[in-house]
Amino acid sequence: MPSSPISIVVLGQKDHGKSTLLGRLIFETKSISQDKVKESQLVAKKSGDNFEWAHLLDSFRYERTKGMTLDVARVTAKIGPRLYELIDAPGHKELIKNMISGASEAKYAIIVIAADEGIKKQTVEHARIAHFLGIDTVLVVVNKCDLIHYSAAKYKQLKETAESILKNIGYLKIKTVPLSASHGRNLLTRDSLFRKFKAPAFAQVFKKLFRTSPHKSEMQQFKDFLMVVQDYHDKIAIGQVKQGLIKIGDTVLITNTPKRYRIKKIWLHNKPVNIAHGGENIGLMLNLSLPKLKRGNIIAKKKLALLRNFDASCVFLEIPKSPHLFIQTNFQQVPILRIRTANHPLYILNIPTDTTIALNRPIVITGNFIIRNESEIIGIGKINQV
Amino acid sequence: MNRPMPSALVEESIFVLRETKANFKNPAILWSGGKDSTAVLDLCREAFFNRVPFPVIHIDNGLDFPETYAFRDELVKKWDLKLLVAKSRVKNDPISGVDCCGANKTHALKTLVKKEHFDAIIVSIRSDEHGIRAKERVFSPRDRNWQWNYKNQPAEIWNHVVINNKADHYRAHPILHWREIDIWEYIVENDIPLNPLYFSKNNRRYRSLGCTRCTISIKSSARTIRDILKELGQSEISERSGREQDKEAEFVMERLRALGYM
Repeated sequence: MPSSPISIVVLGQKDHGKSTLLGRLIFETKSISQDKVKESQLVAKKSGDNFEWAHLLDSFRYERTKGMTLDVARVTAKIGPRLYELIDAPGHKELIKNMISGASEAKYAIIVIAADEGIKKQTVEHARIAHFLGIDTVLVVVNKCDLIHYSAAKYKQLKETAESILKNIGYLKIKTVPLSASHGRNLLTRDSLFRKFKAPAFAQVFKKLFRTSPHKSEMQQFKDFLMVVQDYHDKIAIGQVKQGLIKIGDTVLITNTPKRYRIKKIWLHNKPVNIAHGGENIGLMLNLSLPKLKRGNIIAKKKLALLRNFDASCVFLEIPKSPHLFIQTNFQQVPILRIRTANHPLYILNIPTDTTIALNRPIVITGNFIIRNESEIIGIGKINQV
Repeated sequence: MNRPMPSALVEESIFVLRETKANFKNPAILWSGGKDSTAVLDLCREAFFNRVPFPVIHIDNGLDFPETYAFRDELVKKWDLKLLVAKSRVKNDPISGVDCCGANKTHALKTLVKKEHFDAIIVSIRSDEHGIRAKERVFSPRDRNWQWNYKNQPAEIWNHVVINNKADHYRAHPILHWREIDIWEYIVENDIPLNPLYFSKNNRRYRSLGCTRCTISIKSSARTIRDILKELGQSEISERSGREQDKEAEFVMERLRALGYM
């Protein structure tokens, strides 16, 4: 079976060297083919620019001429024994929605700080959002150490400040390494220029810190079974198991029906099985006297809490101006009647904010949701207590 | 647990395919006869109980390899596919510089999609094929002019699909996060029928398949998928180096994709 890499998002202030770090890293670890590197070098030469390591990630012409990352790019690299997917996020504050699009899939984060500029607004904002999204392990990369003339004292100070800020935000595991990405120093092996830093090389820390990537759902096996119906065809309820396991003969509720229904058949993809686990895409046939099931119905072993008025933590990407706002979760859209943040009447964008929401009908929220208008996502949220 | 956990990559692809079916009224799937789109047809069969529930579009300029046409017709029968052929003209395309593919294929697709009113097209691109494709979303809107607004892509968060009704259609990318080697592992594991051009004949084979005009074979003795996997482990050359229109110089791929190319 194809192997799934461990996903890591790379965050930080613009121009602190995120794309440069990844460009150099995929080059040094031979994770990019030689002809692609040569071609990027040729393109730069043709356009009269200097080749930048960031060009290996920034593929749009706009990105290269402006020297900035516009949208998320993904590369895979083998570092040590494991395979990683590295997600390069843009650092500009206008591009937070792109950064979140990348970070919401990641298990771990790298935060890049330029040694000469130190911690900036975007550094902290990214760190807050990534933590909100569920990341609790972070590797701080103090980049551009050449610009502080490899001063161990300056590095130490920056490391302490950064680690204390991240700890305050709520990160549980924090490690820091110094390097110079554009010069390729202290990246894969310990570098003599960093002797005084008493710090290992980037790759050494990276390998140790980013070790396991349990299939998200493996952690959920011990919870009660829950699946949201994604589609319903030929009496088969289709969906991805959100948590727990299900066996033939088990009985379930369908969004809090008073009656329980027995599981008659289970398919894993297109094959009949006796048992299915969290994360798997399955089909269920129930002994059903019910009318058709619908997308958004929830099949669960236990009764679930229905919410209509609730408190949540939300990150707004835009000020919600449209009168037609919805919560979307578990394939359901429910109109919002009232929304009010702790900063009422203001909306402070891109920062986790305590928010009270009233819906026009109760729904089951199992974790996260998005806030949307007719056409796009304008915010994301997590329930405070379920 | 009695059996190993299925791969998270496969699960994600099946989820995306099922979301495509649930969110759109009239999706179709592009199929070139190549390994990636054939693997996606197989993933459809996994997702939808052994059938492909979408019309299958082959964009045909009349210049594909005879092996490709034979393979296409054989699989159409075997898997009971509803095949639609989008006839593409061969004429000079100033963007890619090749007259067989690029913008010409986009035009052919456009004509068919408009005629059939497809609102989603499943496309088997992967982010490791090209830097521009590495910038894609899983569900990616195209506007009325078929433009890809890559400077302002919608947010895509936690598997919540949000469809903008103003879009002309969406591209759904079920294997965007797979690598070349993942495709081969999936193919060998699931014993998926394959175009014979991928295997060595007279010490040459095709690593990536386009049409006869703009695809170049590589030197290789790989006669089985196991051989190919071994070869990939040692190669320092990228998969699509034999494809004319992929050249980064002049930003050909970016310009083609902005106008609706895959």
